[in-house]
Amino acid sequence: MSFFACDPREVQRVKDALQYNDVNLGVGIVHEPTGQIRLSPFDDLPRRGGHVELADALGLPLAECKGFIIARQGDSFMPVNMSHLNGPQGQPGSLQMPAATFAGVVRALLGAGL
Amino acid sequence: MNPPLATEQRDRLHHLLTQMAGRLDGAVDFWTTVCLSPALPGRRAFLTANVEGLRGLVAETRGMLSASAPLADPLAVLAARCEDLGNAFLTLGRFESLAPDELRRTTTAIAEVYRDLRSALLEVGRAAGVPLSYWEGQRAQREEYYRGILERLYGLCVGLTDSEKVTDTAARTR
Repeated sequence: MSFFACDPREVQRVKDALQYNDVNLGVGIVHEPTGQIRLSPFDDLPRRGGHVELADALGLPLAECKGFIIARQGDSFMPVNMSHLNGPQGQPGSLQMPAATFAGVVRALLGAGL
Repeated sequence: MNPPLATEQRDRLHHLLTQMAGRLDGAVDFWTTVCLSPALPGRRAFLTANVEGLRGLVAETRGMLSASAPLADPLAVLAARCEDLGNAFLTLGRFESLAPDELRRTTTAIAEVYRDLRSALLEVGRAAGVPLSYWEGQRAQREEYYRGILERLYGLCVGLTDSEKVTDTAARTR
């Protein structure tokens, strides 16, 4: 999957949440079969369950998802390639998705207004 | 003995127990990721805020239930191990500066505290007559996911102490 898509409204929601509360973080997952990127502010997840809770809430199998975090630093927003979803087949292992995949995710996020 | 809880209190207690269970799993999945991301700004502040949130849920639970038998022990474990969890994560949040033996102790402590808190939450629910259903439907695959993170945590930390790997994880947007 070389193309990723992200809803600008989800990007804006994360940016707003991180502007409002600077100890909040953005939780991001990419569903590899469809290329769809989904985001949520961490504090908006009812059980603060992170990547797993976001994937579960969307009905996405963990084995089909990669994960990342979005942080705010000053006026900038920074995607960070770290998640336990990034291990092989959703199992813990490597915390980083392949660099080419992450680069595609970052391009999509930027295109959606991050 | 504890007096029976009113329906509203039972609902609130079930909500509190479910919240704590979810946050406990979230700590394994997400707090560990934050800890292992030195490039992440505000890492310690995030951990402190979320430890405080969990502590608040524990305090509300203790305030709702009188600490007499059979709740005294699991409530005491819940409170004590919540503190241990917070301390262990705040230590893990500076994993790159820890000596190997301290890092090993910290990752072992997180696994033990997770197990103890999970047991304490189930026991509080049972003793209060409000069984916690959060983990009931969880599939073996998900159990293995969390167990795998805890088992591999030390190795993940060691692997990430290579600074090149650490700095490559972030992409600035402006």
